[in-house]
Amino acid sequence: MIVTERAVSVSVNGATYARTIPVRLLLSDFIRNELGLTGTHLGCEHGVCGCCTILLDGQAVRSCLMFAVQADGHELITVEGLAPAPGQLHPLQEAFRQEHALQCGYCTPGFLTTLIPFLESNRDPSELEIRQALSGNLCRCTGYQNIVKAVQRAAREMRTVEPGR
Amino acid sequence: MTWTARLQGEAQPQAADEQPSLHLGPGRVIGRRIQRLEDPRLLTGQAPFVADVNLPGMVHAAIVRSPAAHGYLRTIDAAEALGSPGVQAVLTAKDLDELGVGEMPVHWLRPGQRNVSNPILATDKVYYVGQPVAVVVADDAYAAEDAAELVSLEIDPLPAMVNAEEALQPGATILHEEWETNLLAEHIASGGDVDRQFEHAEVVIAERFQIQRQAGMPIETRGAAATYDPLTGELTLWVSTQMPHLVKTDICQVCGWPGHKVRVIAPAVGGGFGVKEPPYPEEIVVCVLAKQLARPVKWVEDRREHFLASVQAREMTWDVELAADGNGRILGLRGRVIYDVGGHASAQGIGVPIVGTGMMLGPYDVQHMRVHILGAVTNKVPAGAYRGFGRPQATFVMERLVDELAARLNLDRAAVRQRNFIAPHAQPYRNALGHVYDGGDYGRTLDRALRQIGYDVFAARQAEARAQGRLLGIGFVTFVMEAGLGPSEQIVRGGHMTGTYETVLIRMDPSGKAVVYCGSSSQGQGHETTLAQVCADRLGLDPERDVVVVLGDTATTPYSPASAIGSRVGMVGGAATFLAADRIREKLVKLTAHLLEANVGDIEISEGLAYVQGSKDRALTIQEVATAACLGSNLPDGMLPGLEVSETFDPPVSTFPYATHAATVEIDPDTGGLTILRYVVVQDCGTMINPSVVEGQIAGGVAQGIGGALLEQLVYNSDGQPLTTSFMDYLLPTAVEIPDIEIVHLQTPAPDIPGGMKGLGEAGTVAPAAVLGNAVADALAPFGIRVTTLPLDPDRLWRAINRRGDGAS
Repeated sequence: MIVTERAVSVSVNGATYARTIPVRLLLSDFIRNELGLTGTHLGCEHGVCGCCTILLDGQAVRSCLMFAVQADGHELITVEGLAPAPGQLHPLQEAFRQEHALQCGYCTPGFLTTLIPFLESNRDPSELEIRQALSGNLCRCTGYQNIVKAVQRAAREMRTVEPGR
Repeated sequence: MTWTARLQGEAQPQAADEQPSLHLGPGRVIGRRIQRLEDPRLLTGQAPFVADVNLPGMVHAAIVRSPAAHGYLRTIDAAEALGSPGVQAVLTAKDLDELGVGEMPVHWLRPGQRNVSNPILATDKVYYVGQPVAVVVADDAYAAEDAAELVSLEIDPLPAMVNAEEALQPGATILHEEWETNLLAEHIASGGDVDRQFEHAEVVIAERFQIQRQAGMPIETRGAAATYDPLTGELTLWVSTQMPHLVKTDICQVCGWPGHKVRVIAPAVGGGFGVKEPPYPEEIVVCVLAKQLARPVKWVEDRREHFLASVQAREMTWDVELAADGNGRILGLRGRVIYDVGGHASAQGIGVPIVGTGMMLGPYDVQHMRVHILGAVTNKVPAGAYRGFGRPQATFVMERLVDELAARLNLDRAAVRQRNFIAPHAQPYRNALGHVYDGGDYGRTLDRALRQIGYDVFAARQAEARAQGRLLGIGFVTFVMEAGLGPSEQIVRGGHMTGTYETVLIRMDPSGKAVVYCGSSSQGQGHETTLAQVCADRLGLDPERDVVVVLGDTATTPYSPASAIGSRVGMVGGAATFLAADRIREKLVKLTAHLLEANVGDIEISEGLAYVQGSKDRALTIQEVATAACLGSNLPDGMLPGLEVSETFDPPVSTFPYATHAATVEIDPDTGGLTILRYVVVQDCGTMINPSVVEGQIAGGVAQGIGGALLEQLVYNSDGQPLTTSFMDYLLPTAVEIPDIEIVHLQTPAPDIPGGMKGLGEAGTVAPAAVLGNAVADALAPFGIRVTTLPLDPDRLWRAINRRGDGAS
């Protein structure tokens, strides 16, 4: 018999969701439509634009290239889970605002989620390293330079906030 | 911290020596680099885009599209699709006809234009791969897509016509048989007596230029979601568009529905760039289905569909000649441009080459030109708007010609330009086609850009590099563009269906806070912030704390015929906001004078207070004055209560922002790969409401221009099959290809626009192809190559360097 549905349990932004879902459901559609977390955007659904990037066990992955069932038992963080509290911004989000690193904002969640593990693994990146880290995400509005500046600012801020690490 | 301190704290010094002098006093918010008001919700994933609209009972549409480029559509068999799980309906042209739904209007018409409207779904013929043929509605998007694949189309194929020039040759396959030609429309842009200039010209540069098909390619695709209430007969449509009011107008016209029962909302929109300018068939279909099924209906375009069904742009072939005297003085320009329209007219008809050609002589004092514009249909996606709207192509052609002229006469390229520029004292200048420029010092932008990029020392660097086998080049371009497109009367006379005015409504309630209502939508330009700044500036308010801007909802905002097109919201919407806020201010001043028993002329308004000049102890808060006005007590004789003002601004003229762009490049002779070393922009866009937003618009526009110059190309094979239908094939520039854009501002307020804004949104895209074309020609000068064809991708440059095939020439 062909299995068309399967039960999954996924932690997203610290909350656990148990659902029975079609096995072909994309992780991106699961997050957006089943969980109502529509901050994760879809730009191409073939893994190039990077809009749908989320954190899976701390790693940046493209949720349009995974089935939701593959996320069973894993911990996800989406753009909605980045800020420390409602009404506040993560230092990276704050830096994006200060440097005018977003215009339409559609690609922004994917940039943020791509950059969080990057900045955790590289606390003082060079401009070239930043540009290479960004090169898997497409932005059609900004020309990228303000995003580069925002990453530099965020790196500075994040070093200041956690000097001991 | 007080708001004043915060604003001043955030104002950053500009790098440029042309730091504009800002008023301190009234005018303290315009010109400030405040952080954008729309950002927090975008940064936290809370901004609602159309795909995020989910309503109870919502069903999902998938579009069945033509797999053939050209053919007779014989039958549509939907039986199997209708039996597929979860399917609610399948809609075809026949159903639309029975429902009395009409055709999509073309908004830009020229005399004799051969199509003025287009079927929403294909009827008896298909004209391009991707043309919508049928719509399947199912309980979820997966089921709808499954069923769409089961709809069987019988199409008798016809030969595809994929080349606009060939389409105009005798014997060509005719797309629209009733026309007996593939010529959609034509126009001659003409002024002066150009042939006479060519008779006595000492130099004539004749060249053929080809610009490839590209697209605006916003990262959010299109989408539409509609709901209909059978009890009230009211329909609401959320749509990713630049022009919500025009979408509504088209829905009402096409469906015969009354305007007061239709509400169109542009929620957060993920980039537009012209692609989301025209209303689209899918948007009408979603509305019709929501009414017929009495259920909310959503359709979200996927990326492949976007490559098949959203307007494409830029594709033109130019045959032009430039006449000059022996000193490099330009005498005239003449020639022909063939514009590839695609399968049928988009909403913009042949407006794109008309606008582009209209400003082709740009900053040059030349009174003679004639360009014959021909728009030919081909079996490709309809062509329409893309940021720049014909100007990037015309600028590429003109500026390549100017560089070739300088090379022919062995003159310095900058000197030839300076020799031909319109002198600042000759402004206002009437160009050969009748556009009257509103001022500009073009030579100053060129000088400034060349100083910034180090033109004087570049030749030595280049020679040194050449000696080492390295290929360096420099290119620069000065351009003037028409923005704002006014007045409405003139634009409508030119064939555009709608005028270009903007109406802004400002309401202040007893709290003393202001809400600004504007009918345009925003696709990232920051209108919410910039219009709030204009309002706050005039009313002595804090733009972040005291002003809210409402955009893009036809039920709450004034009618906006042109919305976010033509670089006009900051300028036209900004001017309307300026005027409306000033009228509120005037009332607050009069009322304050009355309440404080002072003279009207002595009242100042700033920092949330209305006070008698020089004695701040005689003051009321704006809240107190607003409360008096709104509650309607203790008003001076003749003053009506309330604080609500609507102002319409119809620009009396267009504005003419201008800039010089300059770039240095290095080309790898082994791979043909091009690296941009530096890119400089010196821009005068009049008053800058928010310099950070201005710089963001410039940098983003330049990045798109660079993409079009170096990477992006929509390719069709000889059967009309599109070969670029993913981001793997159509290469958008990434952070690695785009350099830092160095921006220097000049700021000459527009004389005829309240606030002095000149319009900016498109400016960044106008020059990069020309700049990089000139830089490549300079780098490859030792190879004797003429740069005439875009894109300047590694393959083309490598062939040019290695003299294989047609290369860059």
